Amino acid sequence: MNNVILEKTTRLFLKVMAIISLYLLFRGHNSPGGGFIGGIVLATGFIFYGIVFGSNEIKKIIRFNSRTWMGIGLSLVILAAVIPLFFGEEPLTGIWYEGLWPLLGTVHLGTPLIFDTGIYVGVAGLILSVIITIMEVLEWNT
Amino acid sequence: MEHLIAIFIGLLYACGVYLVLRRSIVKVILGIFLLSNATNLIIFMAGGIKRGGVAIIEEGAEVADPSLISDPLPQALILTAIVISLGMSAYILALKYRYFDVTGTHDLDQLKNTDQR
Amino acid sequence: MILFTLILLPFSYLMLGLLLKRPKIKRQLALVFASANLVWTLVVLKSVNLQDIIVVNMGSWPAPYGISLVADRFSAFMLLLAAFVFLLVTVYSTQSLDKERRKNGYFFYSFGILLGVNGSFIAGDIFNLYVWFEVMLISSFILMGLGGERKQLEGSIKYLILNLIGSMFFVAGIGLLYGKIGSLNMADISYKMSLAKENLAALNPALILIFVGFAIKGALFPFFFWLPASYHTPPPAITALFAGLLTKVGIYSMIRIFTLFLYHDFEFWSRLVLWMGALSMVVGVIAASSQSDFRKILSFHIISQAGYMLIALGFFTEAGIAAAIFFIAHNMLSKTNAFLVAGWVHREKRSLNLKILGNMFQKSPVWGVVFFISAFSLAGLPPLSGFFGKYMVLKAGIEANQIFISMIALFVGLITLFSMVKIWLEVFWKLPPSDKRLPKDTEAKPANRMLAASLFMAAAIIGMGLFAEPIGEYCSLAARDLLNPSKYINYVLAIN
Repeated sequence: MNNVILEKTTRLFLKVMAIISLYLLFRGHNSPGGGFIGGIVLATGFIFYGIVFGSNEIKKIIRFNSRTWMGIGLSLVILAAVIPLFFGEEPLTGIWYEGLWPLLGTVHLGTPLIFDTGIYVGVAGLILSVIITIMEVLEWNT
Repeated sequence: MEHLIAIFIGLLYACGVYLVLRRSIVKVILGIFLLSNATNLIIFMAGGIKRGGVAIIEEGAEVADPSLISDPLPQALILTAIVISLGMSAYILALKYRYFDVTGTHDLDQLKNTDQR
Repeated sequence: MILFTLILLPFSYLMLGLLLKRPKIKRQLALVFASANLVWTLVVLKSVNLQDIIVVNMGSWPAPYGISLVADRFSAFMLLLAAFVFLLVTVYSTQSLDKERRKNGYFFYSFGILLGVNGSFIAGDIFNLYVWFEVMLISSFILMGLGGERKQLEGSIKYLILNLIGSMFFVAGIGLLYGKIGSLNMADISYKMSLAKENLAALNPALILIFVGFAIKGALFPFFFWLPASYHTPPPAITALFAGLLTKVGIYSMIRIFTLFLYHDFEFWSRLVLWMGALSMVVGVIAASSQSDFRKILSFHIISQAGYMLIALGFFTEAGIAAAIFFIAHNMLSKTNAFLVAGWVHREKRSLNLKILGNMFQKSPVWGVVFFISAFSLAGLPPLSGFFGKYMVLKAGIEANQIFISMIALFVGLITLFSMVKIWLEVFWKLPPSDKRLPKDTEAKPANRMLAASLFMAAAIIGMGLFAEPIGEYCSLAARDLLNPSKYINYVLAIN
């Protein structure tokens, strides 16, 4: 497909989707949003990108294999589950850190964010893996 | 509203069962999707329906007024069920594709070779 | 923490399986993780013996609101057996399975099954139980289709569709139950049911849906048809894993909900369970006796033996439930081992049709003896574990005044013996038919790890027969806990 407008729009679309997905990820836990929906939104951007440019271009952007991304997501989830054990709490308990950072003001961070990031990466990896496989099998745009 | 959704769930189940009983594998798979959606709606109904009752505690408030919000738990359950059916659909469609690749047929009656006789 | 590790171990393997590339490392890690899991279940068993019931509340949310993991004596015993079976099947499959399948993620998905099985055994929350069921099922779907042979694809389409419908029954039942009771924690539901003695009929639609869901997973009488249609299609090592773990989880859940929910309406449910069990026994064993394929016979016997567990549950005495637990344990070992032997025969002859096999005993007497042990343990010959399993079931039945059902069980045992003798004679004893068209022996491949796994399993069967008394006592202790649901409720809800 050689369509300049479509290509430019898709590149922009991917970036916008990535930013929206990060926004959804960070506002999760206290407001609607979270890792799952963020991951899906991110994957949507990649799906459009793949439809226009083909699955090889997606692979170039994500660098690692999509399964590796799923593995990274799972390892973050495990990390979030295990960290509370070192504080003598039950697994998956939220451990919170609150501190005053320069420039940012009060920062409120915790293990649920790690967990959500894990879900975010894992879900995006899963959907990309499905999409890339389908595109390769159907020989879409290669 | 509950009655309307109940009738709708019944219709979904009826369509799902009808499709599951068809001979073509694709229709059976579509029937399974309908059945799982109907099941998700059942869970949704189990939590009760309230108009405009978002299950989020207002900014600044400590507890939510239970008469204003609907039960958030069934929605969490549905989310889980949807995620499971996402993976399941991806696999079932891949299986169907592979099966068609190997045998070149959609017909469930061709699946008799492995049956117990 | 102690229970969480049971989930963490297979989960970490899944993570490493996604991150690592080299198949050889994955294989060795699989063995390491499976052994670690076995060791850890021993730790759990030991601490359950000290504390009776262990409860872990995930995320520190107190019991009826959060997700709790619960292990009592029954689940600890099941966990130990599942870990043992899993380790041996993993060792076995490093040699039995072809390279393609191992490379394409056999170990990965088998750890998915272990994750689901471990999770189901310690779930204290009914929706959580559903999720673990799905984890287990989706891994088993993939394992069943792994390799993509035509018959495998056919088998897995049937298996997949019928099991998905079963899951839908289950989850719809959970939805209705939640709508009526307003809780998902099993202990809490049981407690609320005991308060609402008068209005329990309102729960019956939900409970029946859940019951049907479990009956489909456990392959019981009217819902068993997916099992014999699919279990003989994948490679034998995979079938052995399924036969040892999957249906047993269905039966486990059945016992769990019977002792927590269904006993409130005892008259109705016990009669239903007894007759479903009796019919499963009879139908399974009769269907098996007409088959002439090694694995198909064994598959039908899974149904028949699930019936034994169910009637023992239906007696609902301490002896009955102890017998059910003992029988599940015995069946996990013996059934898996019979399938492992089938795997060896398949490897040698590329066929499992009884008509063209023969004289395998001469080929390898050790495998013959291993099969003899497991098959005649299934048939119930002393001093093997099956004899004590059947003896406990029958004794409980006669004590519970269910003479007719016990007679059926005896009669079924006789036909089981017939089927096992049939396999023994046809595969191991008779001379093979002298027909030119028969497949030739494949060239000899080493089978030492397969044999070692199978020998360990056979040793466990004999050990279970020899130490039937202490194991039986442990089962009665477990049964006493199960028959006293208020203890479970007190521990989980932390009421003092």
